[in-house]
Amino acid sequence: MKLHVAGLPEDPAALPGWLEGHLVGLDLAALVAELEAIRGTPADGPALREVLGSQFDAVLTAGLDGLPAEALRRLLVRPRLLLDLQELVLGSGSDYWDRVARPAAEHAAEVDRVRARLEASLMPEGRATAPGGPAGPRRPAWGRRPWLVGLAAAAALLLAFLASQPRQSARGWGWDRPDALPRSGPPDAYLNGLADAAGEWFNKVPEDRSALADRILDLRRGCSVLLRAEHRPLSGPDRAWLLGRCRAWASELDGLLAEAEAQDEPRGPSELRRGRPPRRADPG
Amino acid sequence: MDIEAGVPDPSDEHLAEIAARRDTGGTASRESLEAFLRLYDRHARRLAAFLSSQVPEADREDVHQEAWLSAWNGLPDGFHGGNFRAWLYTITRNLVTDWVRRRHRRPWSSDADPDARPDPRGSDPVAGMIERERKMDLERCLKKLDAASLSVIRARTEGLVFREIGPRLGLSPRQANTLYHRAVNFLKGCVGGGGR
Repeated sequence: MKLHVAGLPEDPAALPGWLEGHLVGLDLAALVAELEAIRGTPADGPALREVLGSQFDAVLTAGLDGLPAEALRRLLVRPRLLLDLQELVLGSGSDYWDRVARPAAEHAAEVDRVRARLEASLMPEGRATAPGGPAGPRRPAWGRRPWLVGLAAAAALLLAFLASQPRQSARGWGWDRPDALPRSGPPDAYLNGLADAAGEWFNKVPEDRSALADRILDLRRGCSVLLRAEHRPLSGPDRAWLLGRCRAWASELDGLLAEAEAQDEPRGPSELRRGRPPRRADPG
Repeated sequence: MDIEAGVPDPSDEHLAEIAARRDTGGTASRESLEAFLRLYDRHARRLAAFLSSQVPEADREDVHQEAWLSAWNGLPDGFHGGNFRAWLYTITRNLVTDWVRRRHRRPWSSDADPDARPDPRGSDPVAGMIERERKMDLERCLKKLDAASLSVIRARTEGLVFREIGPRLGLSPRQANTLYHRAVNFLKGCVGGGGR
């Protein structure tokens, strides 16, 4: 893990430029966290506008070079002001802030990736997909949340985790609840309801491998419910996306169930993780 | 690239007006898309930097894409001229607030923390989420420093130079310099799991 505060320049004249680079880069939050770790979270103090004083407009148009040393010191001593300053200059700053520093490779790459995904999402149907971007319709933002995409990964971890919890009834909970899939309502509410229902499976931990197999069966049954449901509140593309995820989960759960039912000892969590690619939000 | 003949460097407002055009069926033209992507090229770098302090890295690209998709969808009826960037940032802030609220509803969210719930007054919805682990890790390492080294580190993060720090701690500037660099080297090796 890089220690950003270690780059604090020893030459005071270089401090404004160093801070400017962080304001337009991707690591400001990390720097703020480090500064707070070193100095502690300070008590409330002057707001950003007061700290910048008469230099407020000049900062927006010409950067931090004109700030007096005391103002720079106050930004370091109360580092959350740097977050306020970032929002100010990025949202309202002049073109100066586009020329401050060349973006780091990581920053440029991230911007390019999002551009490719955006272009692919907006392309008229039938056009070629932009390189590096996903094809097909826009995915609902909620669907890329790690909690939903990682549902099957969480089930894999349950396979190796033992705890003393009472068994939950196999019927009528999670997506198998009679009221889990309403037939009307706004799409966001529908999808959030699915997420809430899914949460029930994580509230109880199986006490042994037999109970674990039952839990995986419950999850698998829930997937089957989703696969057979109409999902009326959802649009065509959203429905297609959800069903695609369900089929992927169903396949993984089938494999996990086979492992839970096997006579051999199950893999431990670290082994499961090594055998499974890192999960991240669905790229769409 | 000229979006329209005779407009060599169109303003954001002009590009947004083109990007907002849809036919009677709601379909956008290639020209609208190109205008929108030109807006993206102008503002995405800053927006990514802004989001880097608002949402975790794992979700950043998704929220970033969502912000632009919301802008695309909102342009025809939601943007009425003026400062496009300010409008875009308003959309993005609202998205971030919604994202934070949704995240803290999930009982199994890995870093759900009652202290980090969005302030209902909206004053600082992401205050508790900023790089919490990094901070805790560095705090752990700082506890291993001796008092003099910690004092030098703290003084440097006030923006003081060694010729100012030395007298404050009863050291020469050179001694303060040496102490500081040793402490920094230790911390570099300690954070992220080293030095346990």
